[in-house]
Amino acid sequence: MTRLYAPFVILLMLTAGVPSVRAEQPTDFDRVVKPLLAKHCIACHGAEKQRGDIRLDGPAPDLVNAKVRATWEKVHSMLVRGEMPPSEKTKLTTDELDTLTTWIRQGVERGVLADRGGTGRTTMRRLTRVEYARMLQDVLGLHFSNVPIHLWEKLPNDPQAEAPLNDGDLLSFQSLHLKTHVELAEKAVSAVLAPEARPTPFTYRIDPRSLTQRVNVNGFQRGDKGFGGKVAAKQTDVTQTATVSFGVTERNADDTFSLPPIYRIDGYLGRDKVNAGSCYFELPLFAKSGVLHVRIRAAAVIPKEEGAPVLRVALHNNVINQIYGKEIASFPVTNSPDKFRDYDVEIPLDLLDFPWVLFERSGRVNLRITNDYMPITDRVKPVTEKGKPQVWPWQEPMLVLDQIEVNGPGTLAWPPRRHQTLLAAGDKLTDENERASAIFTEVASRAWRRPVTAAEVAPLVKLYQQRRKAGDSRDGALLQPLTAVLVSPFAIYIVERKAEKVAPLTDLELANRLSMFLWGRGPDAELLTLAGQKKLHDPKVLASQVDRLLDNGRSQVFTDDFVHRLLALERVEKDPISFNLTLRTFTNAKVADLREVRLKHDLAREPVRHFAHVLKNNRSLHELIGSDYLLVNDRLASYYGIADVTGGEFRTVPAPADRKGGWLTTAGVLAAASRGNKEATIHRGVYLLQRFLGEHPGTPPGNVEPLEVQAKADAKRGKLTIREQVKLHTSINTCQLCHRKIDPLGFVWAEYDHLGQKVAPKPASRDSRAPAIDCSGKLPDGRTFGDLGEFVTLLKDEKPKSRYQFGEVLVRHLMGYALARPVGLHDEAEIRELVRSARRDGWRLRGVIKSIILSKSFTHG
Amino acid sequence: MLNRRTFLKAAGVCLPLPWLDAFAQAAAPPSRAVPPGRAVFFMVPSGVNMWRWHPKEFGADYKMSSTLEALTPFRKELTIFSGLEHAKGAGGGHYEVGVWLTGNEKYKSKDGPVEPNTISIDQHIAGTIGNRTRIPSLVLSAPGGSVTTSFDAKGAPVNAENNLRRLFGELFGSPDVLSRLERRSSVLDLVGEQAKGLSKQLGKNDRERLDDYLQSVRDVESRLQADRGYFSSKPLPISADSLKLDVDPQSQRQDYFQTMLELVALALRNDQTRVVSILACGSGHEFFGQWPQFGNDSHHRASHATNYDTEAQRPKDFALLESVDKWFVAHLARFLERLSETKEGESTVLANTMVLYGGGMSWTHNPSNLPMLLAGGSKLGLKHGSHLRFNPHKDHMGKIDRSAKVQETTICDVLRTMSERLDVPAERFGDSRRSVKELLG
Repeated sequence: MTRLYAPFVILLMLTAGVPSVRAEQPTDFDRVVKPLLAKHCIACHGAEKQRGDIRLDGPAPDLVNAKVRATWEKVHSMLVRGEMPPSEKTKLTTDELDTLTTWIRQGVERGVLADRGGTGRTTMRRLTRVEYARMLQDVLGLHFSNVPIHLWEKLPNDPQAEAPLNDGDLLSFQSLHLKTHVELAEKAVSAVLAPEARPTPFTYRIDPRSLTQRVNVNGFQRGDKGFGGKVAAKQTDVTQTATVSFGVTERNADDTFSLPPIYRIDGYLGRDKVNAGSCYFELPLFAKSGVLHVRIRAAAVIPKEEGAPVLRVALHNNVINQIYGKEIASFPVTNSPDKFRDYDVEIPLDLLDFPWVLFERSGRVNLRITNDYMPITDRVKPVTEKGKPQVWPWQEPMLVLDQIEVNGPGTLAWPPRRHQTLLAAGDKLTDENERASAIFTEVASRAWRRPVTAAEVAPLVKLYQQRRKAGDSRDGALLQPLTAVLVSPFAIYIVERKAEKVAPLTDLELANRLSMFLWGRGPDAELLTLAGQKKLHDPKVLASQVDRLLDNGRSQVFTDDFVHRLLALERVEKDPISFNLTLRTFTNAKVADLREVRLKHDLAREPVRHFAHVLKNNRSLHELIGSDYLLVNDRLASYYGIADVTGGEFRTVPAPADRKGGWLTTAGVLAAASRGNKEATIHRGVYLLQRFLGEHPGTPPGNVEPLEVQAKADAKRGKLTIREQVKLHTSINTCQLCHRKIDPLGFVWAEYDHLGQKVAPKPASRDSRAPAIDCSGKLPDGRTFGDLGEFVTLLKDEKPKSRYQFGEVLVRHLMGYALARPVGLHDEAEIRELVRSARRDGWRLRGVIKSIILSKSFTHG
Repeated sequence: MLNRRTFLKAAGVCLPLPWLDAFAQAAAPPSRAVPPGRAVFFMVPSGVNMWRWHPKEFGADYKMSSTLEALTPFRKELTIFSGLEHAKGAGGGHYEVGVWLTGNEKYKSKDGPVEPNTISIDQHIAGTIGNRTRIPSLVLSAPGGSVTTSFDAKGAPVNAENNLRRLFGELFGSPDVLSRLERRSSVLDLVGEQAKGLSKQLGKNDRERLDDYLQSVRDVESRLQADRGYFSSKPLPISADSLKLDVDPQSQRQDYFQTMLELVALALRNDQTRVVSILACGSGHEFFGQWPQFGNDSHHRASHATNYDTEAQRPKDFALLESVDKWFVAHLARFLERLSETKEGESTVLANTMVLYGGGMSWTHNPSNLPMLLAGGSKLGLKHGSHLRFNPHKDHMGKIDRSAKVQETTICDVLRTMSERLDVPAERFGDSRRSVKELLG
């Protein structure tokens, strides 16, 4: 049997193939190209050796095959840059080089044409799992007040791409995708379609003013008591009562309760273990179906210099040995107690992953409301000289709770609001089939992002009739057809029909491309109307639509996703990087975790906010790699040592003396680049090369150990400085090819640690003075820099010869992202034009995005 | 908990030799009706207490180590490996999960797939013998989804099941199984027709894209067909009442693993499938976080960078590791007991089932001298009873004595040997160069 993995695959792809392109050029290839390859390449990339897993002998390659084409494009770029043949081998003459590169370029262009039926064509791609889940939520109205749901987690992970960052070609579709998509769609539709029988309505309303009873609160120590009591359900047919308790709270003059931040109490008792420090609501058991409505009337008392309290609602099982909590909602409360506000928390029980069986066993469903505020700086628990605890000296934000009301799934409107909205299109129709047809037409046009025809709806109605005959109810029979609408190829794929040669997209296709790019979802009514009027190809209309889409809050989908992917910011939140933020007194692991989680979240948002700021104000994209302002909130300001910033919202502040603004100096980017390694020069080099210089770093051989392991194992090597170690590493022959580009880059960040903090220089011995940190290095083209400032200057350098202009690199990243396909040789002319116009325009970011959308690559297919 | 009587009643008494049914249906001559061979792969990642996992002595006269003590009753039915690893030290850091059953040293992904892997041995085996059972292979993991040791022929992770009620439904049906299958099938018919219509309007590359969709419609449909036939012709008299199917893998992990392994044992016994992969959690134990039953400490914190430390230096950390190791070994022991107490022809289910157990780290982040053992399968030609030492030229930290001339043995050699015991050739699987003759009788 054949060997089961890699190296041979490329060979197969290079030699096997469809003769479509090959037929046009055999003479050319055999007569001119093959001898050149034989002369210069085959010694290392032939039958004998396949350096870098690349083999260039054999018949003319099939450049219609995207993977083969990618290999030859790589060959092209290495030839052009003079990286191949390697320096010790004979160089190609200029004529030879020209012949070879021209042949590749033309072949690639023809290949792309044959492959896609037009240049600039995005291969039909499916929605990513995040886009698909967003579509489900939009179409079915699955948005819940203050409660985020993560439906995409139910679908298989999508592969991560590098260039472009969202390469649609990598999105495969296997039977497990279909299975999970069907399951998720069915689940989502079932969550909206209400059952025939209305669940028994119930309402529990608790007014804290009515609580006078002192009760024992689970988890209290030393005989402390909280307030508590029982409330009966409002409806007479529910005989049960709910229990409520407020533990370790302060009673206000108007008899409302104030919850102090839970971290203090948890410091003693263990987070999520007890109902002390919280408002704890125990409801009689009900079925896990429908939407539970919780309305909390709350306010906040915020002392000066402190942030807003965070209202957290969790489902919580409090049975000993089966303690289990799950956060449902978490949001800041800012209104003061003279203006109480009602906060709605809608809990979609069908879509919730909670082991309901725990509640079934205890017969109670428990809600826990806490103040989840966490101070930014460390607060040491005060003790007397003898070590006894003292009164808490800090004024901290309090969450003030007034009336709380819980309404069961069957209590408010019936059928529920979402059910009615989804089926509204059929409201005026009495005939069952006509009604179903109207509903399917409406839902399908939203899910498929285009108008639908009667012929397309007919099979859905037929299925509806079958279900009715099989005994399903009038609305229950909608489940299968609606599921079919949502897992249809029209919903899952972005369909663009082919023309034989390059042609403008239809207005509908263009509307879809535009809104998928900037909103990550299908077009809205205005775009569809314009598409219907066939106005979208008018550059003025299109440009004004770009502005409208960018100004809409939904464009956050684009800024978030693009910047997260470009800078690999998911690493900041997901990689196990420790920021050592334990509160020294409250060493409870979960408390420390929460501090880290919040800091990491803000660190990952800072570069996105910077991008959004530059985009919104249409400023030069060079501000992304060096600005005289920072975008921070209170937490980040404290992390950077900037005074006088209060509140969790991001704003611009002048850059402090020791830190410029921009991506290259934000702690989140440094953390993502360092991957949690303290001596991360090489990781950083790879990161900079790929993301800021726009070049692929190459694949490392499999058996090279990480530096620190090598260093640890080899005591002698451990004594070397990191610069000497890296040099040792670069001297290994197989590594050298790529690492001579990578390693000298990483030193630019030598003055920052892996958490983005400035490091103090270390003196060699106790007596000597600390030498200044050496941040010098060089770009792959040999230009040297002495520190970060000079590095940035090199990246901004607009000498036409420089390959490493940040502006051009970002244009390429954006272009690939907009098209969701690799940017190839056939796009070069277009990109050169984009870069020229961007330079004329002062590299203004919004202008760049607009010109990408107006370019032929985007509007044509 | 499912007690022994329930198990026997369910598996043994009510369902005498169900694999014979399958053979009878295939009209095979009775003489060839030997029990089917099976393979189970059970991975517990993140490293162990290496001071106590392996026995000290090699060969047949070893003394059982303290960690593996619960396996003493099966001593004659199992082989313990020392010095086993992947070629080129693959799977270091936290890459172990995607490498354990593939041996792909290039695969470097911790949380779900970021790049295609190569096929894993369980899927390789299922590719040949999977069509002999209704369920080609079971892929399970406590976190579920793409956190799995199993990868298909394209190198994509096979979605792992982690919901026990769904698993039970898959194996033994649920009251509404037939109506649900029927509903699904009508949806699939409809979208399949749509896709065919659309396909005609597309260019070459886009048509290939849509072919993936059509192929998955066919795959899911054919499975639905098999399921419908299965559940309508022989509803299995196994009641869900005595099983704890709604337990949460994180907060109720004792019940969770017990039930999961019971279901696997039932599935094997009833010949629902012959290939199973089970993953306890992702590398790093992040899914389990703390272990409340052992002092509520974090496994990965305790195991982190233990490489140069002795037990005396970090007694608490090593004690936690040992407790967790023993906890999983106890589950394994109970599972082997279940398999061994069910008769199958002349022998037992265990004698026809190979169970590979272990992890992809020894000390944390270190992929050498892996803690692994192989149990069962004596009727498939495996010779058990000793503690085998491979690659003696490498020390426990993976340092290599280059002067020694030793034929290296890798995990892929063991995986290949298992595959070959099921008559599925795997000559060049991963980095394999040979069959492990030491294992053969």
